[in-house]
Amino acid sequence: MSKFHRVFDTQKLFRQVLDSMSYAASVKNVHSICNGCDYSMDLFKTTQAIAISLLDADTSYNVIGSKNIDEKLAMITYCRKNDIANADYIFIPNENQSELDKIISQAKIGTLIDPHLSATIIVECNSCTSGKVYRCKGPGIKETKEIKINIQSDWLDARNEKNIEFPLGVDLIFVDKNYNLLALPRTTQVERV
Amino acid sequence: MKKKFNFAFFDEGSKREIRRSILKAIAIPGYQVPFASREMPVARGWGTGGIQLTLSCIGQKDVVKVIDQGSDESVNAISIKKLITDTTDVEITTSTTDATIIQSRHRVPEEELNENQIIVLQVPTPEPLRDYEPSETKTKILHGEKEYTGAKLLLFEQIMKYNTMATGADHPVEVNNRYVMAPSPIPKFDNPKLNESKATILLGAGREKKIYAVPPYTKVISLDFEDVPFEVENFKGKSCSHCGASHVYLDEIIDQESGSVSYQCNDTSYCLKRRNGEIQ
Repeated sequence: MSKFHRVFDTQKLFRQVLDSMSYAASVKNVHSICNGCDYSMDLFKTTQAIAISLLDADTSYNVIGSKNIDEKLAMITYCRKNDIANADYIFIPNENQSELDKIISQAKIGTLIDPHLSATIIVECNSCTSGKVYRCKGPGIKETKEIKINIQSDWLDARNEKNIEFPLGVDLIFVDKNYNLLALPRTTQVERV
Repeated sequence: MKKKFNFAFFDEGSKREIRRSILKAIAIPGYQVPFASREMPVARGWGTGGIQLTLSCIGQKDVVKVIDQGSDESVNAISIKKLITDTTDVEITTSTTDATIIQSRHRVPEEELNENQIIVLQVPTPEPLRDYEPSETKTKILHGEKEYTGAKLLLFEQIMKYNTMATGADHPVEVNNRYVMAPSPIPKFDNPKLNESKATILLGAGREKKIYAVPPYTKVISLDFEDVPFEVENFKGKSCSHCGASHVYLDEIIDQESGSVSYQCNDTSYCLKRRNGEIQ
């Protein structure tokens, strides 16, 4: 039985995700919130908690790979599965992290009239606090901010190409096994250092 | 605390939907995200959009401040505070600096907001192009095409009629060089405070079923013309009759009997803090 409180912990986690999204590219450690979140899915506890906090029957999802996650996610959240090109939330488990660039290029970006009908991709990476260094700027960032992400995927070019025409684009949330999360909304301009 | 309600009044499904909309609104600054505005125990037009945002964000450790036209103690502010405390039991404050969530009807507080504060603004008319184009379908297309002649035209008409941009409040702004947005009916005096704000700004229109946002450190420019630049209200030579402040938004008070005019701070908690010597 999961110790993740569906009222209070989802609220706390939402605020951390909101902070990471609004102060774009800021790393939030959610260990104290998510360490009890275990629904026996092959996902980090943080990722499971994000799914529980955001998904329901009004949304659609896709999971890359594992069947175990697929069945449980639908059972726990009542969320509907959709193909990658039409899913609202796409989850990429750690073992499939190399597919991030491919998924970014397939995900939906909304339309100019309804840019909110775009995908949010939640991807599990090796680390959100070490690895390759990137420089970010844009709304939510005072001047510039440097971030470090360790992931086996050449995601940056795919993201830059996908988000080229604001307001269209995908939003990314990176999650690592140390309970760190880092959000990159479509407005953040990211470059390699 | 009335136990018959879920924490923060809403069922979890409602909170989830509003939270998803908030995240999208942050990712697309200035864009009005449609959401399923809930029926509230307050009439629409009394801040239901703002309350829905506040209740979806609020947690047990939050400290909330609610202001109505600068006052912490008006009917609207009190009713909203009652609803929040009855369903969450959180701490309420009047101090701008102590609050983690500030819900405001039409003012941005005089004291500068800080990082990790959220200001929630109540919005009656979220669509800055509505006077120009009554059809929602068409205004959505105009936003999509970044076609904002209509917003400029409304200001131009005011200049033709009154020789100046006569928007008393709700002067349209451009966010992040893309969307033109109604900043809610805050006075022009507060528009510059939205620019590069340290706090996250969330705007909610309950009746119109829209949520939009301005993330911190985001460029917010008030619309104007090269030859008619944007100007805030001018209080030159006037100061608060209580605390003496001269660099703030002032209310004009007319004595019914003598007809004499005096001024006082619109932001009551700021005025009180000054009079108590807590701030200069």
